[in-house]
Amino acid sequence: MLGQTLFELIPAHFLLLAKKPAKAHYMLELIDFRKSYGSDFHLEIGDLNLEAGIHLILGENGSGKSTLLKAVAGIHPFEGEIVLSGVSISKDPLEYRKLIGFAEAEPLFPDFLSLEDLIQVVVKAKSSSPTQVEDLKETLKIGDFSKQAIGSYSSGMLKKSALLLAFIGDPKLIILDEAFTTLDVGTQQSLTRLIERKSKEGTSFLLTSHQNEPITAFDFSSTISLNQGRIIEHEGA
Amino acid sequence: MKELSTSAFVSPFYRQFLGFWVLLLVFTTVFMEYPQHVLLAEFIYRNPILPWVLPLIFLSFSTLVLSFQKELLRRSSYTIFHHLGLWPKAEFRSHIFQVWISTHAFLMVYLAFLSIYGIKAQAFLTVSILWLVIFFSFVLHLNQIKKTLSKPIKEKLFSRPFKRLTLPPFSWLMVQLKEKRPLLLLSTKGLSLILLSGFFTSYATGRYDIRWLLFAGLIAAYFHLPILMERMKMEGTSMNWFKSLPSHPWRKSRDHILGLGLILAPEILMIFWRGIEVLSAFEVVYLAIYMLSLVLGLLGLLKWIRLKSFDQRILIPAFFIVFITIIFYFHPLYISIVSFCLFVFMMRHAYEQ
Repeated sequence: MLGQTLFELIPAHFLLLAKKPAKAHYMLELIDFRKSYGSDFHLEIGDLNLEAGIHLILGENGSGKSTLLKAVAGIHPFEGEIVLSGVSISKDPLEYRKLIGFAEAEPLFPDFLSLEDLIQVVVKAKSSSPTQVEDLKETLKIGDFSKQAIGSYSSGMLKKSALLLAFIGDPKLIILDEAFTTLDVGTQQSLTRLIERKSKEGTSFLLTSHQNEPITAFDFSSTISLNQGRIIEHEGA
Repeated sequence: MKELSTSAFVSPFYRQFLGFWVLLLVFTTVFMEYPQHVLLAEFIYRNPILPWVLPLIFLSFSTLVLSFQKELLRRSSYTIFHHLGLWPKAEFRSHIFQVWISTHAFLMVYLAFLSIYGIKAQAFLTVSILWLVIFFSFVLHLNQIKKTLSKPIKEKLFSRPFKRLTLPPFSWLMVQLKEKRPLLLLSTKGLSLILLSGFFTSYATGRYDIRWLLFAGLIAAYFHLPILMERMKMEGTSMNWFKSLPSHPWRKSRDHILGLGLILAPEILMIFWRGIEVLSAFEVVYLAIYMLSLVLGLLGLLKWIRLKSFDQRILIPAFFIVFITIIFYFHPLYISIVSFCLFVFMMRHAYEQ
C-alpha cells in the first residue's frame, strides 16, 4: 500500500474518462440508422461518420441511395439519429433543415407554379439574397423559362430548377441525387465548377451518379457503395 | 405570395371537392331561396340542440380541410413546401391564415348569416361559443401545420390489392379510384344508390310507369360523369404509354365494358334486388343493360368530344335528347343500341383508346 503512487490510487474508470479523446466533430453522423418500407425494403446503415468534403454514394438501382439521401435531407422519417455539424435532426429539425440543400434525381414540383414562385419560397426559408439567386441562374444557364409554368419545362429545365433551389442560402451540406443526368454538357461543366467552388468555400456534398465522366473531376473524400440497403464498402473513411 | 398560397393550397382543395361544391351551390341557391334560409336560421335558433351542432359542423369541416392540407404536403411534388416550416413566424402565420380563410370562407359566411339570427334570437352564448370554436380551430390548424412541417413527413406509399395477382387492365380504373379518388368513388356510388333506391320506392307505389325507372337510370348514369372524366384523365397521363400500343377494338371494348361494369356493379345489383319485386325478369335485365349502355355511351361521347375538341356542354343536350325519347315511349332497347353504337364507333381504331 505504501509503495502505491498517487496515480495508482485513482480509480481505473476515472482514468479512462480522463484519457478519452475529445469527441471528433464530423460533418455528418448517422447513428444506428435504419429505414423500412413495410416488409419490402430495409435500409440498414448503422453508424456512418463523414468528414467535410465531397462524398460519392454508389449503388445499383433500388439499392437505397435515394432513400438514404431523402432521410439525410430531412424529408422522410427514419429510425436512429442524424447529426449535421453538431445539429441533431431529432432535437432541432428546423435548424437542421436550414443547413441542407437537396436536389432530387427526378424533381417534381406543382406544374401550375413557376420556378420564380419556388425561388420565393426557398429564399424566404433560407434568408438568401437576390444577388445569389441571380448568380446561380447565370451559372446554371437558367433563362427566361423561370417565369413559365413548370408543367411546360423539359426534364433538363426541371433538373436545373432543382439544382438552383438546392444551392440557395448557405447550406453546410448539399445533397445532389443524380445531379448530372438530363443536363447538357455545358451545364454539366458549369455545375462541376460550382460544386468545386462551393466545396473550397466549406460546403460539403453528398453525390450520387450513374454517369462516370462528370464525377471523375472531383477529388472525393470518401466513396460509399450500397447494395440491397446495406453499405458494402466505404473507401476513404 | 398570396397568389402562391391560393394556387398551391386553396385551388387544389376546391378542385378536389368540386362535385360537392357544385351540389351544395345548386342546393342552396336553386332549391332554396333567401326566405327559406331565414326560416332555417330561425328554426335552428328556436331549437335547443341545433345551435350546439353548428360548432361541431365547423370543427368537422375544419378537420377535413386540415387533413387535406396535410395530404397535400405529403405529395412528392409538394416537397418544396416543406421549406414553409423555415419561414419567419409572421410570414408563416400570414400564409396559413390566407389558406385557412380561403378554404373556410363559404362556411364562415353562412355561419355569420346564421349568427345574425342567433343574436336576434338572443342566443348570445351559443353564438359566442360558435365564434370561439372558429377562432380556436384556426389556432389548431396553424399549430398542426407547423408541427407537420417541423419534422420529416411520412412519405405516401401506394398499395395495391391482391399483391400476388396480376391485375387485369379492366380493374385499373377501380384501383386508381380507390387509391387516388376514394371520396369521388364513394360519393358517386352513395348518391346514385340513394337516387335509384328512392326511384324504386316511389315506383313501388304504382303511380308511375317504367319510364320513371328509365329516367332514374339516366340520372344515375350522368352521376358517373366525374368518374368517366377521371378515366379520360388517367388515359391522358398514367395510361399514356398503353395508349400508344395498338390494341384490337374488341379487346379495348371488352376492357371498357368490364371496367365500367365493375364500377356499376352496386347499381346493377340494386336494379336486380329492388327490381325483381316490381318488374318482370325481362324488364330487370334490360334495365341493367340500359344503365350499362348509357354509361358506355357517355364514355363514347366524352371520347368523341375530346377527339373533335368540342365543348363538353354537348353533354347537356345529350341528356335532354335521351330524356325526351324516354318521355315519348321510345323502347329503352333503342336508346341502348344508339349508346352502344356510339361507344363501339369510338373504339374502332387500334390506336385510340
